[in-house]
Amino acid sequence: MPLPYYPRTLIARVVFCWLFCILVYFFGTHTLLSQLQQPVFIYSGSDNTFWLLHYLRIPHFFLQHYWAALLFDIAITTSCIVCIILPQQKVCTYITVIGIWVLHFCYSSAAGKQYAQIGYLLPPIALMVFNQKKFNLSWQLIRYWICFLYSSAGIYKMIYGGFFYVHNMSNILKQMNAEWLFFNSNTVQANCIYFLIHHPFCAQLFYQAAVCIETAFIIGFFTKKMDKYLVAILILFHIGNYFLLHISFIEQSLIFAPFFAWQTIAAYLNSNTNNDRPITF
Amino acid sequence: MFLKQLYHQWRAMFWVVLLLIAGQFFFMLKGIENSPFFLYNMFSTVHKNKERTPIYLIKTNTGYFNPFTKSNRTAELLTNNLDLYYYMQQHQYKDPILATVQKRFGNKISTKQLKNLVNNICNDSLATAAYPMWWANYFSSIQQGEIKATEIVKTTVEYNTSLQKSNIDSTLFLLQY
Repeated sequence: MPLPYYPRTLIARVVFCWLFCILVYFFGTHTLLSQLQQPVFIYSGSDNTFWLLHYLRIPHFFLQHYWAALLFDIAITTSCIVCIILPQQKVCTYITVIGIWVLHFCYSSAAGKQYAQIGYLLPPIALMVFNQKKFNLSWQLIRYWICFLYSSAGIYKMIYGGFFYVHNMSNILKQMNAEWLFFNSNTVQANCIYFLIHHPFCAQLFYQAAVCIETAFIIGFFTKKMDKYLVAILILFHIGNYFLLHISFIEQSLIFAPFFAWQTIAAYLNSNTNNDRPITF
Repeated sequence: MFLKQLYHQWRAMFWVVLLLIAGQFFFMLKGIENSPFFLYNMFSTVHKNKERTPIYLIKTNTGYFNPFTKSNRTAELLTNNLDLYYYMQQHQYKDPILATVQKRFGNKISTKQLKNLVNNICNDSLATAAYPMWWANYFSSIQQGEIKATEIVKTTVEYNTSLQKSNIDSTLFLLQY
């Protein structure tokens, strides 16, 4: 069976462009490392990898030395821009991909939370492979990893009982929205949330729908023909999360990339370019 | 089918992937978090009803500051660690992660290594004492203008027909500039 073809150059340009926008968003929200004002509290959670990095004092180094953090931010942003222009540039690709992981570890340590928003970390990993044949395989691997993450999230909710407890979503809404409702109690959105809090059965239907969406990613292991529907329901899922729980998915949005029809996009772009100057993606 | 293709076309990666899959299932069974073996189990457990939900509020010279006017990431930096600060104050500056460190590595590494690990991953009284100053600096960096945060308070809310905040605000820390 022939391997599907994924145009690495096009994918690299789009992914690094997307990543650059995410970095700009981080800058705009004062959450790049040099903007954190050298945090004093660290949160390592119970994650052994975080512990190892803290044991090696890597997050401490970037969080407590302003100039190191500034150089780091400049290096990661510049290398990301270079990767957009020169998608085959190996050193910059490695700096960008390793850099965003380091950024994630440092930011999470300072912000007191772990890996909820990891979407921007995964697709760039595949771009560390430069051979086209091997890239075709690594891009698919990332896609399978994402399918696994979402489907396992759905299965966890069934195994741990959240799916079957009728008051679950209503109680989650109460806990997650306590602060938000204090400030925004007179909005349409707040009225919707109050309605769901007071009607646990309806709220739980939303929860169960979300579990179904997550579990549906099992389909992704068997066929790629449903990818456009998977992306559509995933976007719906994250919009729901944003509307009811205020969980932004800007960083997470890059996780959609492996489900795009890249061959079709490449073919479309090729057909719209001047025939005298063929572009190969 | 994909793994078969991988085996034929990129054998080294095939074994790496197999190892990663084994690692993922091992950590899932043990319930141990180890990035990048992510356990995507958020909101999966049964959430019981709480009569009152504790919240932290930022008092400013113009009233309570709404962190939701900022991005999720900024709000996380402002509010996520307030609970840790409160915990540290209530528990003689012992980081809540300390018990997990001792359970996981107490008998497996030398006393010196354990001490080093604890020093690097646990917060202490010095970090707790410096936290309000860091918080004030970060708040000033995101909020240029007239608004000055004066105090962080802990309070509770409860749900009747609508959300009701308790009248008691207990001070977590005061901010000095």
